Amino acid sequence: MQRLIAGALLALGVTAAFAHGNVSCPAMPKEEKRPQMELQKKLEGEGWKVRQVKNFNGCYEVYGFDGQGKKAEAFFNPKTFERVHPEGESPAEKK
Amino acid sequence: MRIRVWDRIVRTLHWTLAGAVATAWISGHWPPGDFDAVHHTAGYVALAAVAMRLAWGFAGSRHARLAQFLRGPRAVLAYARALRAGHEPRYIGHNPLGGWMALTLWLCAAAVAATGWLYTTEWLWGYAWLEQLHAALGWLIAALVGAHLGGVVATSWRHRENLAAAMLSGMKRGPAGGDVD
Repeated sequence: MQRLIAGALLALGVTAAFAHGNVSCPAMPKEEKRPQMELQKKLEGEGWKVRQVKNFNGCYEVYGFDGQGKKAEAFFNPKTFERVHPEGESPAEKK
Repeated sequence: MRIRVWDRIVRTLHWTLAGAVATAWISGHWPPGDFDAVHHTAGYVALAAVAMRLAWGFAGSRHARLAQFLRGPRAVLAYARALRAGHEPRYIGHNPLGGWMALTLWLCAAAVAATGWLYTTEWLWGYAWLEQLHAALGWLIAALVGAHLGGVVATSWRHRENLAAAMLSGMKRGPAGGDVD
């Protein structure tokens, strides 16, 4: 039993150690955020197919397909609409 | 006298599914993207374990079989009443409530895994409703696991028999007077 508990704790520790790649956007008052619909329209103008926009850690999180038709889960600054890349993700599409 | 109740396949699949569900649950509640590969793998393992367990429910040893432990509503009700009155019989395999709990857990695990997989397909990728359904099923399975553990602890206590250990070794105390197979 002790060995089982030790194993579980070890697994949890290893899991915690790998916890990186978080994403966040600067805090800002609500008025400074542009509407999610505006971001959706902008992305669709660039050839995206948007299936969902929601808030995540101060960013707008977009699910859909990017301009190349590839599945995308992307984060954007709600004010500037600049793309925010999580740590550890290659910012290949950074502009 | 101790007898073999849970065969090797039952035990292996039980702990495989338990590990996969725990891994999927933890990795799924970490910030997005960090553990996608782990989360997906755990989901596939869970789905495979449920499929094999259901198949084994027709082909396995006596107490592995669905037909052995899924009892009709009358038996379930009678057991629940006896439980409330504090004189429920000991079962060698699953008791009537435990049997249905096992099936419910398998189906819920399969449903979480299936909705999660569908979310990764181009067909349904990104839809909020599917993400919410997947998350809701995730919380449902957490609640079911809680109830399952509660049932295991309570039944172990009532009949002075460590049921978690029995799922590791496969061995349980042999039937005595009043016990039900």
